[in-house]
Amino acid sequence: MNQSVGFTSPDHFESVKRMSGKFVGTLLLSAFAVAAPVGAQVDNAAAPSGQLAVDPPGKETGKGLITGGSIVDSPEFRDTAKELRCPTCVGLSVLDSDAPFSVQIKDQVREQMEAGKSHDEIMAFFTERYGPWILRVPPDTGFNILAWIVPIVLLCLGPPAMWFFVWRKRRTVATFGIKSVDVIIREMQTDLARVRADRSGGRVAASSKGGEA
Amino acid sequence: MLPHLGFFLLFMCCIVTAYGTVSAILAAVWRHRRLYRSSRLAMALTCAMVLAASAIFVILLFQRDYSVSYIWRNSSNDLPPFYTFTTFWSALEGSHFFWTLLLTVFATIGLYTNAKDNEHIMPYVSASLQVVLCWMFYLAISYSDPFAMQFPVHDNGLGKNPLLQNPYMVIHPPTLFIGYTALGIPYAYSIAALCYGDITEGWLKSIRRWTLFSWIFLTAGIALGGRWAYVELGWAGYWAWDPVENSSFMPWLFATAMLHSLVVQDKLGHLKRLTIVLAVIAFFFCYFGTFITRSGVITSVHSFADGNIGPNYLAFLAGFMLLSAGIYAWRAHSILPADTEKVWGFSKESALVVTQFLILTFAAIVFIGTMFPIVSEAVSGQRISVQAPYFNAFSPWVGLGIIVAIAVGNLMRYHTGKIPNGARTMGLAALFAIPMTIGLVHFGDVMRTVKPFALGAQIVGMYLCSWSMMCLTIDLNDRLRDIKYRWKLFFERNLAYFGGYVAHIGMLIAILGFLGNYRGIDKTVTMAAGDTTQLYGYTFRFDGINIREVHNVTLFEAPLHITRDGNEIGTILPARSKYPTKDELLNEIGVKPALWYDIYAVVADFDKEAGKRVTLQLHINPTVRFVWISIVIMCIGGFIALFDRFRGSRSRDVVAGDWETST
Repeated sequence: MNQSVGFTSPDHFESVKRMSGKFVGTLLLSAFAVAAPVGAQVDNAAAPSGQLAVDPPGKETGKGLITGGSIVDSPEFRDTAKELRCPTCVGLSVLDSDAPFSVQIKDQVREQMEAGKSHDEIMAFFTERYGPWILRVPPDTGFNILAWIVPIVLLCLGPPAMWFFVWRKRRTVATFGIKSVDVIIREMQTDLARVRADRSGGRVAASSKGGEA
Repeated sequence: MLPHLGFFLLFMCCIVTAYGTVSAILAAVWRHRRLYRSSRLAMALTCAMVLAASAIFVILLFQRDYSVSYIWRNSSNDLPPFYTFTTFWSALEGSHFFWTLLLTVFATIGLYTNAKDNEHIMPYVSASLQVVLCWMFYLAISYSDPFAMQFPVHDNGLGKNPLLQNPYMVIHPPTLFIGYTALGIPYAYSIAALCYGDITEGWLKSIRRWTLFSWIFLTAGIALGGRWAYVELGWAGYWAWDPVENSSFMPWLFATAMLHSLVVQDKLGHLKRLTIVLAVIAFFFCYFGTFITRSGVITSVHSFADGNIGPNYLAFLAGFMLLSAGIYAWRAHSILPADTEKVWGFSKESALVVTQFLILTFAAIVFIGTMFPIVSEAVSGQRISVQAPYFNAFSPWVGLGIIVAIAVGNLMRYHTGKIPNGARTMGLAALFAIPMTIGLVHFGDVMRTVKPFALGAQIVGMYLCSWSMMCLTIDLNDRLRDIKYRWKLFFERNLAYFGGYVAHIGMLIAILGFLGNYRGIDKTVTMAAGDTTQLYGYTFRFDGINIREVHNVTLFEAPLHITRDGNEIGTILPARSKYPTKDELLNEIGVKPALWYDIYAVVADFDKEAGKRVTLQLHINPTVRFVWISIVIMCIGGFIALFDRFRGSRSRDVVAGDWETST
């Protein structure tokens, strides 16, 4: 099964050529299909419509992908691209994705950076154009600010709340009118001490304080 | 013929489990022992029938019987036997069937291996499990029928999703499903404790074993999923905070929290109700995760997005929650607080509560992040995304808390505010941690991190992890010295403690591994045959695309010869693969794994005319190995703790009542 075939083996060459013909338009879609195999089409349709032109950039192999260049390798570019979601995949940023839309967005980011725009300006541009959906985190305005506030409140106020409501309140079996083993032992020891004290004529009063079980 | 028989068996399973549920409830109400025995027998019968049905399903898979719709849609003639078998769980109906099969098997084992003292609560356990199973079998014969047939019969199947044709995808779903379904027993015992109105003797022991067993498999299953993403999806990471990853992570978090509350319950009798709530929620979240997976509510890599099963799952989840919450609200008062007058104060039990607080808060954050897009759209009509950066904003802080809690919590003792030799232990650990951190920084090449925040986070994280590990180890040594290094005694009596030690060390190593994410580097490069490129001191040479056939796959490989300073490092084979039944080309990753960093290459694109040009993404991924190793260590730790015979023996539990009709 593991046989190795040379590249020029007619069968495979044909099949590859056929594929490449078929893939001229959708070549990059294959990369995108890898990132989001099943949900892809679904999510694609659900993306805000009318704003992303369905025109895979670069008809020629390899040209469509961003392949180096000074700005593209800069940390500023990477930081910006990392904060924008790939519109068609699940959970990936445009930086990590080679889906056609991501490549398009990366191109736009590069153009804007070349035009000298700052990180915030670029973010504002994309938010305006595609809506807050394009950002990978919920915006900190309106209802969405809850997504930020709730975890912070949980983390900060959780321990004090726990102390206040749980540890401070000594809710024990006594609350239910039942004596705990500790209480029973303490009572028995008190009784025992009293009996002893009675027997010895009240001389040994000191032992009546009982034991901490 | 065979598909009909399979369907008939599932149909009978549904009826028998319905009987099992009703008879178990009646047995519980009437305290009727023979009726309970009958309910248990129904469970065993269901188990036998579902095993027979799955045997039939496997036979059909190997016969490639395309009259069965599921097999036609998910298999094809070219599949190698290995992947033919795994078609069992590679799509909706099959995985539902497989899950049902596992839950049936575990439920049967659970019902036949109870502690003798617990028999009186077993009718409730039986009813809780069989009612869930009854619903699952109902789905298996209605909306998710694996044996559904079609006409005309095709000659070849549509083929299996190529992404699933990967060894990790073979083992990942069963492992995770074992973890999910094993959580069914703690859930059933919790409902039983509520209904019976007390924690009975041996309850804790049983529930602890099953939770731990499940925890081991959940840990391994989640990690295998991450490993699959790492070697198959090609974005150089193992965790994307994808909704379905999150929903497999949440049961793990709940199970972990439950293990910690069980420790407190065992030692002091506190937190009984918390354990019960966590057990129910953990099991609930297994189904909640499946709901997310199946219904397409949240689109995800895993989404099978298939029609009618969504509303059914939702109805089940709602019913499950309502019933459980109702039973809890009605019965919780019967579970009494701890039989002790001691206050919490500054003690190990308090530290364990803090740990649980951290774990549960983390679960809440993951839950909020997973569900927020839906909620936001419903409330404000605005579509938003919640992805990795959101979770990454919070997880370091939770991680920080967990590191400190692991160290300090383990040094503390129950019932006392004093840490024995606290200052000495922590001081020594702080000292020993320095060389360890220096070693980690040196070998991990941390100083090349550009951003000051990332650099600081790594150094602080590494130092605290080292300190925490040293604290644990010094404490272990102290405990051993206290018993004069009698190893036999230690391993006889303290397996739970020792397993916990190993698992915590594993957790800390995992955090060290996660820290590597702060310093990964990558580059995209287009190369012609014969070109070389440099990254992180390595030279990569590309000579041209090879074509190779492996089983049913045609691989277009771009071999990269890696050298460093003239020394041969090796060759990696990133590739694109073509499966016969699919049009797309898929990624096959080339990885050169090593302890400190993986060299990771993805073919982004290649010249399909002559095979002389390729566009590659090259990544240096630091300390990914640490994560895989840590998972193994954590699982070993859990496995060691599983064999402890004493945990749960000291619990002050009540003896269950007697049967009304005992013959």
